[in-house]
This record gives sequence, structure tokens and C-alpha cells, in this order.
Amino acid sequence: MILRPQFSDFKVIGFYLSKLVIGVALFMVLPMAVAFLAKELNPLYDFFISFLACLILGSILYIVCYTKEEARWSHGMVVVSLAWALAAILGALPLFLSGHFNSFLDAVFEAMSGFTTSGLTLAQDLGHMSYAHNFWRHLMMFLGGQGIVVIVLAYFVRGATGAFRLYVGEGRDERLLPDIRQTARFIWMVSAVYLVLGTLTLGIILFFEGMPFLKSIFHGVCIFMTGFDTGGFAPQQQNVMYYHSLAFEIGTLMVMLLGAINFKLHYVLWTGNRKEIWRNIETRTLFFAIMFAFVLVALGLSKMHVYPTALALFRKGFYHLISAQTGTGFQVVYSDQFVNEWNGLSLAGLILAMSLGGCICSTTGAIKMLRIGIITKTFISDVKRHISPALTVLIEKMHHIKDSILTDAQMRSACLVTIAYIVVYVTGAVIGMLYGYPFVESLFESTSAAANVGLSCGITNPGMPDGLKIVYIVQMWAGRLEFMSVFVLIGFVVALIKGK
Amino acid sequence: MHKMFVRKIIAGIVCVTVVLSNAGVLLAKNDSEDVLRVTAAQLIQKAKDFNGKTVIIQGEVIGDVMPRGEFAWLNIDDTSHAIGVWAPKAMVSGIRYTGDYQYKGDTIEVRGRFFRADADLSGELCIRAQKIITLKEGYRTFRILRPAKAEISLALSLVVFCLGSIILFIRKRTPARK
Repeated sequence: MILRPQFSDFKVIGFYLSKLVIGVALFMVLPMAVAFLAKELNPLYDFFISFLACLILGSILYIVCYTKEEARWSHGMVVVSLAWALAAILGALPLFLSGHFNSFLDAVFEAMSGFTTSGLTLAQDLGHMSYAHNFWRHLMMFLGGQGIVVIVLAYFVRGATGAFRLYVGEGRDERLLPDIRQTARFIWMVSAVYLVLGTLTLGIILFFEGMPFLKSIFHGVCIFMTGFDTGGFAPQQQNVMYYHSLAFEIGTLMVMLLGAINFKLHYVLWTGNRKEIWRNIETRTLFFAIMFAFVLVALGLSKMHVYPTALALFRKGFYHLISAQTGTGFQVVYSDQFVNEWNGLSLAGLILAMSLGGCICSTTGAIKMLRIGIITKTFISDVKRHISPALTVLIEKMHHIKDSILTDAQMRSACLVTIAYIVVYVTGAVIGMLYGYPFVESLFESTSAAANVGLSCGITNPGMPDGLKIVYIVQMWAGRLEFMSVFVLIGFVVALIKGK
Repeated sequence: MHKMFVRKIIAGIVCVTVVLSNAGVLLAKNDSEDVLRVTAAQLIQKAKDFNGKTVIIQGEVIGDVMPRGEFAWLNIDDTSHAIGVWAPKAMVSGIRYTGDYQYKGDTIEVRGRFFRADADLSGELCIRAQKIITLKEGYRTFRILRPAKAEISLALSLVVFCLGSIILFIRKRTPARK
């Protein structure tokens, strides 16, 4: 029997959502400061209006839903899935007011792409966008990459139990420290340290590549935020290609790889255990996945003689492979070039890399390396079982921070999420084909959206059908939350209709 | 005999001059035929077809002119797309404004060779500029604040003030959690 949700359930959900909405409002103060410093009056008002609108919504939710009850598992999941949708709508307000988007739907697409660290963009005339709006695009990625819920957990939520339920709902399931709020704060501390170091590094490179100092710092901070959080937005229309700098591309490669590593691994490395990086199942799987996909990309590109030198092939091929594998979406070739110049094999390499993703508990999307590692081990274990004597008991172990025995539950969970991702990739591709796009392009774009990558082969543009924009918005949202929260939300709605 | 020799030399010089001048005209004709007026989108979409060809493109200089040794990178946007231009530093010294939120950049015409993946620039898709002409100088764009934005801000501020007062009232009445 399905139980219909009670009014008290809505109150808990609404109360937690109010904190998230107020959290989004407070973050809008940062682009307001940028607008003030850059003397951009219209953008300042765009953000002030959006800030007030968020405060009003948050306050109303707070007043109407005020409760002392803690969130249960189902509440946590529903709050998280609604929070991300709501954040995209609210985050779209200043973007829409900027005048750089054709419609509010386009602005929501951009905000969802930002918060989910996807990187597909519908912004127009980026070359003339204000510093404040551009900063907001990148900040959304940083907030989304760290997990907007994690932020709120760290500073707004009191009860540890409810906090953990929200944390898991956001597609993270690893505690670095005993208290989940300490974990959330640690994630922010790590990110803040990397932000300062990364901004300085990228900013200095750009300064020596001929950019004025203040601009180089602005571009450095923007690119770091979207690179480390594997987002892929850039301040200019040409993305990373704008800078025409090999040194900068190497810098961003490092940032992308840092962002794709498990936060727990960062923690272990910070505490001095350097060997873990070589022993961990995730980093090993990531290494082999990158090598395999790069062979495909390199073979495809060299067969068609796409690039005149090995350096050029490496610069374009390897860069996009890392961009795809880490789910970042930085581009150093134009979208049209993927279709017109890259052949099927090299595109297959990119699609494979995009669909697999980086490490769990990182800022990447997609299936993720731990699951791939577990599925591979399960497969090997099954083969061993078939060739071993009947009474042999096989125990499969893995090393992920610590040695552990692979359980059936882990295997089932890994397979379930993998299948869910594949279904979403294919569904998006089929819908793309229904809109008249060719198969490879549709699969490329669909995988890019659902895996929160952001590489585009040209389908994503302001002129694309609205229906497809909505499909990609849903894909980005569901992919970022790794489906479970979305399934619970669907269950919640079903219970509301059919429950007793 | 001597006169004959001088006449022959003069006739020879005249012939060579005529041939060379005609060749010059022919070459110039071929050159102008080879130079194609294009948009950035055309170059990107048909990069293989235009590879190595001399093209002319017009667009607004956006972002920054980034000097690299004796050369500089700049990006131009012709509303169809933005594309990189690699030019000698002296050639870009006349560029005064680059486009951003507060400025409309100079509109320039670039004549140069297009490369889909320039081997000397480790694979960059770009135009190697041979000539840059400023067609229209950029300017500062003055953006006036729309009065509606100020009015909406004021109205929303009042609503926030009222709601904030209610929240403070609720929090005062509710004992704090331990």
C-alpha cells in the first residue's frame, strides 16, 4: 500500500527548500559586488531584483512551512531534486534580465547547465556580456559542482541526520569526516584552497600570454571555477580556443583532472598518503579508461589526417578526451569541426569517455569510475567462477581508500545506475533523431547533456527546438542527481495521486 | 652594326617589359580571383575547402589583443561566429577599441591566409593576417538604467522588509533548539 504524503511532509520539504532558496539569494551578492566594482549599473539591478525575488520566495516558504521536524530519507531526496530545479529557475532570473538570451527557457537551460556543471550554452553575444553576468554563469558552476545542497548543509542546516540525507540525495555517498557538516566544510575548504592557487596559476599564465592583469585574474577565476568543477563554461564565445595558448590549455588540463578526482582521495592525499593514488580502484580505472579512449580518438584522427603534426593531434585530441572524460566540456575546436572533420571512430572515443566520466564524490557526472571498476571486477569474478571447480568459493576484493570485499549489493547498485545512464543517453539520442538530427550527433549531444559534460557538436544553439531544450534540461538535472532522487520524487508524486 | 645592336636591345627590353607587365596584370588578376570574401561561420563549417586560401573577412575585434613576441593574437566576431587572427604586432597597433560590455570594438577588415590546423601554430584554426584595415573605430557604449528596474527593486524591497519582520516575529516566539 502506498501512503499519501501528509501536510507535515510538505512542510518539511518546504522548510528545507526555503533555506536553499535563501542560500541561492545570498550567493547573488557576489555578482552584485562584481557589478558594483565594474560599474555595471543595469546588471547590478538585474541581480538585486533576482536577489529580492529569491528572498521573497524563501521567506514565504519559511513562514508557511516552519517546522522542527527533521528530514527523512524520502524528504531528503525530494528536497534535493526540487532544490536543483528551483535553483535553475531562480538562477535564470538575472541571466534572462541580461538580454543575452532569446527566452526565459534559454536562461533556465543556461542556469541548469551551470548548476549541473554541464556547460552546454545558449548565451548569445558573450563578447559583450557584463562581468557580473559572466561571473554568475561561472559561479553557478562552482556552486553546483560543490553541490548547492552541500553548501547549505555546511552553514544552514542544524540536524546532522537530516543533513546526511540531503547529502546522499545529491549523488554523494562518502563521508570524509564523522560529521557530515564537517565533511561539507572540508569539501569547501579544499575547493577554496584550490580556487586561490588555481586562479593565480591560470591568471599568471594569461598575463604572460598578453592579457591585462585584472582581466587575466578575472578569466583565471572564471576558468578555474568551471574547470575544477568540470563545468566547461568560459567567458568568451570561443571557449578555451579564445586564448590561443598551449600553456593555458595544459593548465586547464591539470585543473580538469584535479576536479575529476574523488574528494575522499583528495582528503587522503592531503593527509599524506600519496600511495593511495596508485592503489585506488577508481584512479586505476580512470587511467585505463583514458588510455583506451585516447587510442580510439588518436586512431580516428590520424587515419583521417585531421591534424598536420603529432603535437597538434595531441593538443586537440588529448585535450578533448580529458575534457570529455572529466565531464568538463572545454573546447579547443569549434563544434562544427567535430562533425565535419573528426571521423566516427574519434567521435566514438569521445562519446565513450563522456559516458563513463570521472570519480564518484567528485564534481563529474556520468556513470563514474568506481562503478566501472566494480562492474569489471564482477565480470572477471563471474568468468573465474565459471572456470573454477564447482565448490570453489570466490571472494572478490577491491581497494578504494581501504581494502574491502565486493558485495552483491554494490554490484547491483553499480549495474543499476549504469543501466539508468545508458537508458537516458539512448532516450535523448532517439528524441534528437525524432527532431531530425543524425544518429551520431544526437547520441553525442544527448550523452554530453546527461553526463553533464558540455561538449557540443552543434545541436545545442539558441535556434534548436524548445522540446529538445526541455529534454536536455531534464537530462542534465537527472544525470547530475544520479537518478535516485529523481525516482523518489516521481514516487512522491505517484503517492500523492494514488496513495491512501 | 652598333645601331642595329642597340635597337635589338631596346626592342628586347620593350618586349620583356610588355611581357612582365602583362604577367603582372595576369598575376594580379589571379590573385584577386583567389581572394575570397567570407564569414567566420563559412570558414569554420567549410574549413577543409578554405584551408590555405587567402580570404578577406570583416568583423569586430572582441576581448583582447594578446601580444606574443613579434606577433599578436586577436579575435574578431562578424556576428556569424568569432575567429582567431594571427598578425604581426605592428599590424595591430592601430586597433584602438576591443569589444566588451562597455565598448563596441573596432570593426576591421582582415586579409590573410586561412589555416584549418596551422602546423606552425600547433594546430590552431586561424587566419594569418597579411593586411588589416580599420573600417570603423569602436566607441564606448552608454547603457542607461531602465527606470522599471529601479521601481521593481523598490517594490520588492518593501515586500522583503514585511516578510523579514514576520520571520523575526516567528523566531522570537519560538524557543531556540538545544
